[in-house]
This record gives sequence, C-alpha cells and structure tokens, in this order.
Amino acid sequence: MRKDLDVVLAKPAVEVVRVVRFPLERVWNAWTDPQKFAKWWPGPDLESTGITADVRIGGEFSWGLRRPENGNTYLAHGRYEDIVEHERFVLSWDSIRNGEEYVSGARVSLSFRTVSEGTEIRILHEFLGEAEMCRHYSEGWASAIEKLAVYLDLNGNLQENLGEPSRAILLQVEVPLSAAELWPWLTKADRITQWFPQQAELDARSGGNYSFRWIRANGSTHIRSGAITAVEAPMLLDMEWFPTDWDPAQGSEQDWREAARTMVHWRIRETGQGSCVVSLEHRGFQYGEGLDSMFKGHSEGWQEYVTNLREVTSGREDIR
Amino acid sequence: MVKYSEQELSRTFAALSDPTRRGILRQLADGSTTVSELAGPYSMSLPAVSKHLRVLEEAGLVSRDKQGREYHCRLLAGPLREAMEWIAFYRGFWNARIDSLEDFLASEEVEHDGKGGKQ
Repeated sequence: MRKDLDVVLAKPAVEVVRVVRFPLERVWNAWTDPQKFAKWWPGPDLESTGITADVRIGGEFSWGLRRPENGNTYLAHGRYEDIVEHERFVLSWDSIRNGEEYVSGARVSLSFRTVSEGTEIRILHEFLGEAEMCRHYSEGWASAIEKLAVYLDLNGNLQENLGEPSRAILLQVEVPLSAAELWPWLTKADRITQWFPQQAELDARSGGNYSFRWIRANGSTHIRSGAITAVEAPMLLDMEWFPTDWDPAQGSEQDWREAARTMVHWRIRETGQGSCVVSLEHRGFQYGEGLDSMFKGHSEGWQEYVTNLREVTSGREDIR
Repeated sequence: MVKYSEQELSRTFAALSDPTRRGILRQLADGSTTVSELAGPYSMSLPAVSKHLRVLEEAGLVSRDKQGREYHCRLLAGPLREAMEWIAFYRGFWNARIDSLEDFLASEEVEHDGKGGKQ
C-alpha cells in the first residue's frame, strides 16, 4: 500500500515495461494490424464486445472487453494522437468500466525498441490533470487559455551522439498576450523572476549569456548558466542548458560541456485572436543510467514553471 | 468500501497532477503538520501554499482544523485509496494484456511452423 502511495505521489501514472522474446516488427504488427490486434487483445479470460481501430494519426479506436463469468465490462476509446512506425504510438484514452466512466482524460504511450532478448514494450498510462487544472485555475480569469499540453517526447528524431536517440520535453501554453507583450516575460530579468528563478541575469542577444538561480519546490537550489545561441525577437529564443553541474573528478570542463549540453528552444506564435502559443522544447537529454531522474526532474520543473508563466501572464492586471 | 464517483476520482487526479501538491501530500503522509511547516521547503508564500491546500481540501484529500492560531492539516485516505486502486487496476490490466500478446505471438509461430511443415 505504501508503495502504491509513493507511486501515486510521484506521478499519477502507471508505467509497465516488459520484454517479449519476439522481433520488433511482429510485435508492432500485432498492435497495429486491427485483425491481429482483435485476436489477442481480449486474452484467454475475456471476450471482445467489439474492437475497432483506425490506425492513423487522428484515427479513432474503440476496444471493448467483457469478463464472461461475472459480466464486468471495460471499454477503452479514443484516438491515435501520434504514430511513429516501429517506434511508438500515443493514444488519448477514455474508459468506461461497467457502464460508468472511469477517470476520463488519460493518455497511453506505447514505445517499442529492440533489445538483445527481443523487444521491449514500454507502456505509460498517465492521467492528464493539466486540462482539469487549467479549468480550475482559469475560473476567475476567463482568459483565452485553451489547454496546456505536455508531451514527453520519446522519439528518436534527433539522432545525436553517434545515433544514440535523445529525448525531449515539449510543452505548449497559450497566453492572452501578443508576441511583443509576451517577449519581455522570456527575456527581461525582472519578468523572468516572476515565474521561474528567484535571481536572473540575461543578455538577450545571440552570443549573450544568462544565469538563473532558483529553489525548487522540494527545497533544492539550482544555478544554471550558458549562452543564448539564437534570438529573433519576438518569435524565437534558443539557449544552451547544462542540466548537470561540472564535476572536476569526472573529467575536464570541456568534455563535460560537450557531453552534458542540451538546448532550450522557445517559440512564440500568434493565434490571430489576441493570444499567442508559447512552445518550449528542451532537447538533447541522453538515455542512460542515472539520467532518468534528471530528465524527470526537468520535465516536472518545466511543467511547474510554464504553468507559472501562464498564470502570471494571464493575471497581469493583478500584477500591474 | 465507499464508492467514489468518476467525477470525484477525476478531481482527485486533477489535484494530484501538480507536483507541489503531491509534495504537500507526501509531507502529510509522514505526519500531520501546520500550514507554516508545510510551506517550509517551498519557495512559496503562505497564501500560495494555502491555495494548493484549498485544492486538496476541495478534492477531499486534506482536512484543515483551526487549533489556536494555526491551521492543522491532515491527510484523508479515502480518495487516495481510489487513486491507488486506479494504479493497481491498470498495472494488472497492462500486464495481462502483454501476457496475452505473448501467447498470441507464440501461437503465430506455431501456426507459421505448421504451415511451413506442409509446404
């Protein structure tokens, strides 16, 4: 029980990782060929109450199951949000258990990779609280916020460091400002400190430097600095980001800079309706031992701070 | 066992979707504490922590009683148990699905071998 409590307090999500002794292509086909899928999805104990799958991005699925001995039913339905052939697919997931909705608004990400024993299947089933939270927080604001979408991007689009796939944090938020109004919130120290670090210096020119110092919700203090690598006001800001500290015992500073460097890309796009969409892409996190917690920490941190950014920019009447 | 409605369970998960609020619940799981104690590890004002506590309270996860000058907070187990049940349900669900997938892939092999034998 305590273990489940720790899980739910770490993140309201279920992660199942399994290795099956079959080649990736056959595993992938079993999931994505609807005829094959319908054969195995119910398993030996359950029966199908109808399985449909339109396997393309945006296509709908509906997978119904029933346990004959007690009549319990479970129906999952939603859309294929993303499909990367032989790598992963992502489903929006609503479910109906015994005729009643069972926690709507989840996302299921399935990723596949070849390992020496066969194929590793990673299933991440997470509750998307942000949409709910948005509704909750925006009550008093009546702002143009539509959604805060959070994606943990596990794809291998970026093949860095000898083809080792890296992963990225992608966040999007809509704020009720024009791009020109938003821009200072990303580039002026006295604005940045209202949603992210307690102390900030930033020279928003290509080749300029920044330095942030802040304390996380868990009490840990962080100092990060680096170069601003590209600036196109008020649409684009790129900065390098070193997610770890240099440890002289591990090697030279130069080696560390090369190995640890990740990139933060800010993009601002106006919607044409008085608001703009701010995208944060933090790319270049490597896979490896001990790196998962760093990636997770950054994901959680950015979610928190981008939420803050939305709050301070949406409630700007209160601040001024 | 009390059966929580889907709406209440969704509200629990919405409350749990914020890392600060999960941190507060973790502190509460380790013993009941006052608002100022809860605010301690966060670089956050007391009103900001109170706002999070209000969300937790509305979700039925936390109760607050005024004792003297301070509010004392307590973790309420009911909704958390539902959330844990959700986790346990899906852990079992996904493992059972993969078991079934393995059986299917193995049977495909037998079928394939069978066909191969006839050719």
